[in-house]
Amino acid sequence: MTATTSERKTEPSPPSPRRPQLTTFRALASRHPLAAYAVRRFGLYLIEMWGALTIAFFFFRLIPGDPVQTFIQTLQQNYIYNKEASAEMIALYQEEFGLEGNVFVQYLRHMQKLIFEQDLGPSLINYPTSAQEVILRSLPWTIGLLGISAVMAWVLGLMAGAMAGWRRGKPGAELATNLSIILGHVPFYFVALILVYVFAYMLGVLPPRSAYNAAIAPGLSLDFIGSLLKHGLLPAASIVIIGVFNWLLSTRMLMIPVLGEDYLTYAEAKGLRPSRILSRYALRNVYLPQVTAFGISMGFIFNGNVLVEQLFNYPGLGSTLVTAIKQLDFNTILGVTDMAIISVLTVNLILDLTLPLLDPRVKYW
Amino acid sequence: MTHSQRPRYEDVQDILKYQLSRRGVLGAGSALAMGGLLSACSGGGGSYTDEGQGDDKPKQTMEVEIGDANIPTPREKTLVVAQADFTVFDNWNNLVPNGAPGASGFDIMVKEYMFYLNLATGELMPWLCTDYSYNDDFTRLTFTFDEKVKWNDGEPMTADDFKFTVELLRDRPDLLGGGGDLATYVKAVKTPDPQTAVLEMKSSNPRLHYNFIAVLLGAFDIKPRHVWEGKDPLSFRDDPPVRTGPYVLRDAIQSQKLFAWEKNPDYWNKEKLDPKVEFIVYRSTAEQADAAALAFEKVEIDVGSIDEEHAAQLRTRGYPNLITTQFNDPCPRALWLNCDPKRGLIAEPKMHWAISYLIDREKIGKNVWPVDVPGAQYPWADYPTNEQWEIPELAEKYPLTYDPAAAEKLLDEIAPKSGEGKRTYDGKPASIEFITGVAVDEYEYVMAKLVKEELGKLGVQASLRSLSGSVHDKKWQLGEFDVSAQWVCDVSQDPVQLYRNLQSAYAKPIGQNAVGRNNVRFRDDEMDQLAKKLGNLDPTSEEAQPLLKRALEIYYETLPVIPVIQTGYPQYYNTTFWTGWPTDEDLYQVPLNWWGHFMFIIGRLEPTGQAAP
Repeated sequence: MTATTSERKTEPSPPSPRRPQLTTFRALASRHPLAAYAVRRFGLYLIEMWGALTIAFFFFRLIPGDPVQTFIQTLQQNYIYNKEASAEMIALYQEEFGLEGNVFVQYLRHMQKLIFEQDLGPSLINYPTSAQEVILRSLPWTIGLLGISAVMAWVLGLMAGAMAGWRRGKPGAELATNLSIILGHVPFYFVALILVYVFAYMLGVLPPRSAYNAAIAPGLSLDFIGSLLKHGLLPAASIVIIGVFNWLLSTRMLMIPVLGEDYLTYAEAKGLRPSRILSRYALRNVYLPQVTAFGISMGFIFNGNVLVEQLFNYPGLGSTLVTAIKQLDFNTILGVTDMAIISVLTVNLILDLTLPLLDPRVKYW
Repeated sequence: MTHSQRPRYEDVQDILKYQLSRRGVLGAGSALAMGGLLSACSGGGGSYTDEGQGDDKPKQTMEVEIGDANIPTPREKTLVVAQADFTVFDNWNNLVPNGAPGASGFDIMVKEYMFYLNLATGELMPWLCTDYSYNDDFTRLTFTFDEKVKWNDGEPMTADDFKFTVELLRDRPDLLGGGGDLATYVKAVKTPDPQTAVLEMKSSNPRLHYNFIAVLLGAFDIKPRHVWEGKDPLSFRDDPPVRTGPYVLRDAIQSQKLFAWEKNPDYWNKEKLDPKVEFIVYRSTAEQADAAALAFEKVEIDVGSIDEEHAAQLRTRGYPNLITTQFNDPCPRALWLNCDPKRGLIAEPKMHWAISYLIDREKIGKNVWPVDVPGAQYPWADYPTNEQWEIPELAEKYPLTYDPAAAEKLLDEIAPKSGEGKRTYDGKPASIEFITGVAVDEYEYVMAKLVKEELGKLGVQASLRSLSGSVHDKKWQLGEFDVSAQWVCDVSQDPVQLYRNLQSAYAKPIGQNAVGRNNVRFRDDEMDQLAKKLGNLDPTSEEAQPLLKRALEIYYETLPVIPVIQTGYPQYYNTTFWTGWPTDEDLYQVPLNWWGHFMFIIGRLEPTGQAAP
């Protein structure tokens, strides 16, 4: 027994078949830490996406009711005497819209079409146009209005917040801070209503709704661009105003601890101009969390500003989503939701991977 | 316009869906702020009215401020209608779901119908056809088309186009409007000459022509063969639509959610219809009722977009350019009662009468409905065309009155009270489940709530649930309800339409889809025989009269659907730019802007000379 034990102790254990691979992987990972991080992060991204898409699918599909049946029944009444035909027709369109079979069968089919064919199926609100085409028609309006407004709010809020923090205690900075506390939580649709009331109805200087003047043909003409800007001003302002206050507040909050750091005192001692200290030393240490926060807030561009689009009768993704929900157009609803999920996760993935480029101190290895 | 102001029939899916949004979160949030706008916005501008100013009306002294309608056509030459919410802008194929959008103008002045029945006057108006006739045994139906008719692309419309469309629909049950009566009855379509089409039937049917008369909303849509032939009707978009009407599509602007139509200079029937309106814009109106009403007030819209609540405010404030015209919906409000014995108490005919006795029609007509309406005695609208189906003797024998004592007596017979004062049926507590597809603050809900409370007073447990449209529809089709509070729309031309839908053959077991027929699972052998016989008879013939009388009597004996009130819907017109609208005093045509008949109203409009702002 002892000999055997001794033999066992001295005898080299047989190599595990997996060990060399693991070693190779670890070796590779240690040689290319950024690539290894990217692979891990991408894997997590895929898992998050699968989870979010699955939850979204079941969330909407568990809404009771059969949109095809309801819709066709109502339309059938046009023809009063043709009601017998509807059972057959309902079955046809249920298959067409991916609604036949139980919810798990529908889920598998939806995911298969989404992943392998990039096909969301036909849109009920605009049949036989595909849901992705319906979404793509609305997307430019949303990006044009809400995307630009969100970026503007972020940039202005960041700058104003940095200034409010930098000039802490000064009357202007305190006023801005207190205003932000008060107004930062006002719903932007409420601000939109006030803006409409004042600028569209009281002063009559800006249009209360629509994306442009219907009398002008869309194109690259100055007239059209001018009309577009004029019509976009009020909805954009409602988002920008509230957005600026929110970003101001959070940037100021991040700015204040930075102001006490030694490297700022050192920079000051070196005789650098205050503006340079603010922009190159203070702000650079503040804006990284804000970049991440901006990435997370991208989701609101797709679904958080529905109210603004509705209020201004703006033909964007939010309006499309509301219409789709009204008619239980699952393919379009899921398309918009999936797009929001994919966008937010992808933006965050990109931000995570590019943060080292923005801040050399950030290392994932 | 609120949910309650719109007739609930036909294709107005867009309208219904749109209405739901009005009552959504958005409306609630914005109403507070926008409400102030109504009182804040008034100013200078032109005014015109063709409505009389009686002593009892507020003085119409308010000045009208004209806003910017934001339309692609000259305002003073344009009629602007805002009624629905549009989602489709490039598809006019009405044979597929959500093809040709409803209430967009297409059904009104682009499509034309073979005949129009004017329910306001009872007049049958031949249009694309000059007449129709049956042979003696109702196995052949002949139509004669007007030889002047031509499509808006200049091609003549002939009986061959009709033949093409009938055969397309007869042979394709997968198309909306396909199959049905055309598949059941039409054996062949013959066209002996370009103006004559003969439908040869497999069996006699004296009602086949109903399919071709625009009574409610519209009717059979003849497709141009030279455009549709060779196309896949499931994917063809029919854009721009080629039809025969006096207007053609000018623009369909998705980003503005509007359709602009312009006069067809080569319209075939200018002798009878030559509108002064150069352009018509059908646009989506604002989601918020207050903003929509404001658009009407500022004359950004001529028709629609306002409800009675806001119209009443305008009248009170002396708005001079508002005309309100009352018209009854084809669908009286009603309670449908499940007749399947598996549903227990509600299947008892005496229970149906007990519920009917608990309906205070006068109270509902005066206090619940937004405008005064009479109670309904028959399960059809009180149009002049329906008067011929009334049988006063039976109405007298079976008066639908409010009589709680009579209800209590009937309940004592079928569901006696236990010692605790609660009623039992078949050894279990007597209970009734009401459902409705409208929101809790809507009129049908309130109507059912009143009856529910009356039942409670008499010891019957009753529940009432407001379900979303698709959930309600599912329960309605599967028969999973006791009472559904909604409307009865089965009679458009004669009562046999209702009796045929109530045949036992269509009564599916609870849990199976009724597919729109006999949802209450009514079964009566005698009614089946009567429906079958009447189905082969001209309802106006002498032979049909005793059968009609007996069928109505069975209906009253069993009451599978209880009519509650006639449904009055005021329509609103702005006279700033256009006048000549139908009024209560001169109701020359059905005044609903989403029915095909609205084409004739457009034909009567005159410009007031008001300049655009």
